[in-house]
Amino acid sequence: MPFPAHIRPDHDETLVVRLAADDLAPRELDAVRAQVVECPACAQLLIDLRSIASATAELPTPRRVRDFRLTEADAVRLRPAGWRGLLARFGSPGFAFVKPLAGGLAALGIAGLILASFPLGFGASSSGVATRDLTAAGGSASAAPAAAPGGSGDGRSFGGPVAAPGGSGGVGTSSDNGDGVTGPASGPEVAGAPGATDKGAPTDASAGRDQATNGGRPSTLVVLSIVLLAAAIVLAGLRLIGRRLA
Amino acid sequence: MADLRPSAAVDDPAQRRDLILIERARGGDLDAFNDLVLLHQDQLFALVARMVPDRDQASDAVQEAFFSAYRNLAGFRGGSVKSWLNRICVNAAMDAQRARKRRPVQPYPEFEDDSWQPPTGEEADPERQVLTAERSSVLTAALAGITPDQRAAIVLFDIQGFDYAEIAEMTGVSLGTVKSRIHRGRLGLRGLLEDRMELFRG
Repeated sequence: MPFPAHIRPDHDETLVVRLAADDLAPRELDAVRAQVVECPACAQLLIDLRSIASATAELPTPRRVRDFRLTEADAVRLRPAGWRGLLARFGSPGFAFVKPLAGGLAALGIAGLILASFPLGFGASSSGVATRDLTAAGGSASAAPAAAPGGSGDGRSFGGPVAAPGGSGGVGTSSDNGDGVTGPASGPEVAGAPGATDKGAPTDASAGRDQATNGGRPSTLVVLSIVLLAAAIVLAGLRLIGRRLA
Repeated sequence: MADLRPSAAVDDPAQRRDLILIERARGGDLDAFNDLVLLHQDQLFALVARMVPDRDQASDAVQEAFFSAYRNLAGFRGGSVKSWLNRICVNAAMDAQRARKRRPVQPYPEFEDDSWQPPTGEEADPERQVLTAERSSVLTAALAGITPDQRAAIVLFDIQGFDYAEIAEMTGVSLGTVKSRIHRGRLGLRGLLEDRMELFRG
């Protein structure tokens, strides 16, 4: 709202309003009182605001026109029983934590899926990464000089750039179909493998697919992310239904 | 479920009584809940009726608030029963105001009949009564002209007598927002009453 016509632009009417509400800090009081003394419009505003506040407090009390007590039928209707009552508990304020919890789980799930889809090595099955490198090394699995020993291919490895001699399962079993999607192989990534060039290197998209799957099986990170997302959806759904029932 | 048994820490007899009633109501005693309704319904209706200018909608909002309170007895976590009921009523009033925006009605019909109670007593001389009635009428109309948030804050502060912190808790906003709403609301009222301020300056 603009300043009333007579209040000087350099006078802050908010301070006068706060003075009317006795809502000023002691250090502000002197300045505002001085402002009110030297500015008739400010003084009038102060009087008006106090008059309005006092008149508001004296407004007549509305008399209710209805009795708001509940009947037995109301009570039965309002307190759901059985599974409806169970679900309704999720709508009570005591379960308010469910919403942020679901949000957090969903965020973790989405983050996990994003991580798994990027070629950063997170969530990659060791076999997939190894295979990609084998492919990059010369288009032939046998050309790769090393693969990690004991690579399990169970997807639990967060394949860092570890060079390890002596590959086993991946060599010879990988199929080089040119798109980076290969058959099962073992061993983490081989950094700086001799002969590794861009030739035959998979695209980012195919690398992502490599990392997110393990020979057609989703990696643990992907599975975990999906479980988290599902849990978030279930919790949010329970809360929503509970609130509707409540 | 929170333990609501009144302890020695609850000194206020009214609060102790309310807590006992709530505890019994949670155990399925409908009469206990209805005792609570009887104790608070006048004050709650007065609150909501000032926030929702249409009286029927105000009644519906209060009824809905008591329904909601009954449904959520398990969610009461202790503290002031009065504040809890007021918070539910404020929310119901806000919902009713949102509905009212969609279906506007004639605001504040209170002076069309005798169900609204002008204050009487020693000051009941006819001239003063006329002045009071006119002042109430224009102020009530002005209250309908400010925003619902500002109106709620002013009604809770000036009419119901709650302090800033209680209003902040009831309306779910910060202390600063409550103060700002009250200040802006009063300025808004002054703007709307500019031509009738002589009624208040007398």
